[in-house]
Amino acid sequence: MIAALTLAQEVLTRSEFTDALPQNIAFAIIAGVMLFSAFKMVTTGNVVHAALYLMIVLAASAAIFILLGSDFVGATQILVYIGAIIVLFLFGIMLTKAQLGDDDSVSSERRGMGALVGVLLFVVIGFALVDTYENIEVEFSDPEPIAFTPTTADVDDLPTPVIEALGLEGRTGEVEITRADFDSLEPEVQRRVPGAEVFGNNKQIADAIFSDYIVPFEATSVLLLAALIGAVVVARKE
Amino acid sequence: MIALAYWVETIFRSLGGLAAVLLPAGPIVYIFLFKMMSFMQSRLGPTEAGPAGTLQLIAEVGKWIQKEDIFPRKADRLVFAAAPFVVLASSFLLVLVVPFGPDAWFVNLDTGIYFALAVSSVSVIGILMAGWASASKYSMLGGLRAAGQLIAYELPLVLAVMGVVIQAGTLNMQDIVLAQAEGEIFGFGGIGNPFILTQFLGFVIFMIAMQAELTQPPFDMPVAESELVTGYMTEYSGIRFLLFFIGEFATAGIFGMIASALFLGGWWVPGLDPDSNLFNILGPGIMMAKVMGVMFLVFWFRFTYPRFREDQLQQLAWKVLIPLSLVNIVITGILKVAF
Repeated sequence: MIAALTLAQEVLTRSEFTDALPQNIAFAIIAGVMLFSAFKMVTTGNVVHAALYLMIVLAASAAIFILLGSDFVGATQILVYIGAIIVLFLFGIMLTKAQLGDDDSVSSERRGMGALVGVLLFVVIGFALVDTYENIEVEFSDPEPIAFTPTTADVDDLPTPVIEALGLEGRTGEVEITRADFDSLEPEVQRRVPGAEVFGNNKQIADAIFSDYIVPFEATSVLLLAALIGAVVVARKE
Repeated sequence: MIALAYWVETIFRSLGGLAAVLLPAGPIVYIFLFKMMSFMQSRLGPTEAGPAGTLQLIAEVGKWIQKEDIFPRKADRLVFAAAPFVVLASSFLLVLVVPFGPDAWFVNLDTGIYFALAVSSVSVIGILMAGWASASKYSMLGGLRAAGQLIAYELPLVLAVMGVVIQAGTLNMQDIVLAQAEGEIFGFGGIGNPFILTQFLGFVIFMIAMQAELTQPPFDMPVAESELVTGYMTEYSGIRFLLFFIGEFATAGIFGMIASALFLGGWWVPGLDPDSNLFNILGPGIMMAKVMGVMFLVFWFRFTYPRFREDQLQQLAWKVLIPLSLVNIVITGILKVAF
């Protein structure tokens, strides 16, 4: 007990924890909700309840993605898993048999085996993660690097914050914007300069998908199309 | 700029979100549901409570709060109780990404409109929960109909937005508004480029799909009162029915905000510099005026057309709107590359 308290105190006063206090508290809440729902999902006796608990687990993982600044993956998680898959689950369950109250056929005698598999999976994944990242300092790169090519622009076309920051009030006609000018600006003004291109999360993902991973991406699309046509053929009996 | 502590800022943002969700709902219900509907049906509507019946809504809310919160005996109590909150949570998540001025926003997400379209699908879960947990066949049928309809119309909604995204070159709502303010149509930049002009087809598809997503008539099969009483809301009463009711019109207001940010230039009006600080104060008002314009269209159609049959409703989505929006995407893509 005392050892646990000392450990908690040690963790709570570490700089990694206190530097991002709100984020850490938010993570703790989300993770707690997620664990509770995951446990309830496999122990509940009602199919619809299980689907709804699964929804909470998926929503929490989307929240963690957003907390990590990866909002594209988070939004995709919500769109695909909650908006499509869980809705399909619920739709399917409710169209067939969706009885209220506990369903005896849901709880299985093989719970022991299930728990064993779960624990083994947890140990394997946990060991792999700890072993890989134990001694690696995670480097935080700039989430939105801004690329810039020197350019000339008409003062009338420049946004007001850029004019003010570069001291161009009263000037007319073409001006040259140099690298030094660009570097002197604040990031939120930089992104408004002509010739600047923001490489945000979305652009980075899009770049990766449509250059390095174009073949797997297209292959997945063809696979999904085949599944779609297959589903239509199976459903239409003529 | 005043720097606030993280927690203070979060509290201010939460209060702002509450205001942005709830404030438009009241005027929308009073102006359109009470007064405009009465006018179109040649009757007076509420007149007694307050001047010209303006306080009627407060009287109604008071009435609903007083009523007993009834749970059907066979209902699944937990799911039944939670369903209205899930629907309302979807509205609160939607408003997060809407910009109200150059610096007046809740979250400036890079993913903006994509996030909004993703969270708008959460309300389907709430409706299915309500339909199932009520232990009533009317509710069940209403819930299933609602889910089928919302899934079908989500596709044209997303595809209609694609045209705007291609033209603006960004998913960020704030940047979409700025793209309209700083854009020009064939070299003429006097009124910027509100995407309703260059994306008119997209706007029409978005408005139809939005009407269906809001389950407003003529797309009200899920709550068809002549067949299903009120669909998934049948067993609800008192404050939980009120939550569904608020959720319906609050979501209408927020979809109006999204439509005006995407197609009507959001907080910006032609003739003023989009960077001027004035917009941080005027922005929400301008937004509200545009929302009222969009809502006028929604309710005009609501009171004009009779209800679609279920098969007609599905055909309109799959055979008309989705192909049309795909054509719109192809044309926008070609024009974007060509110019």
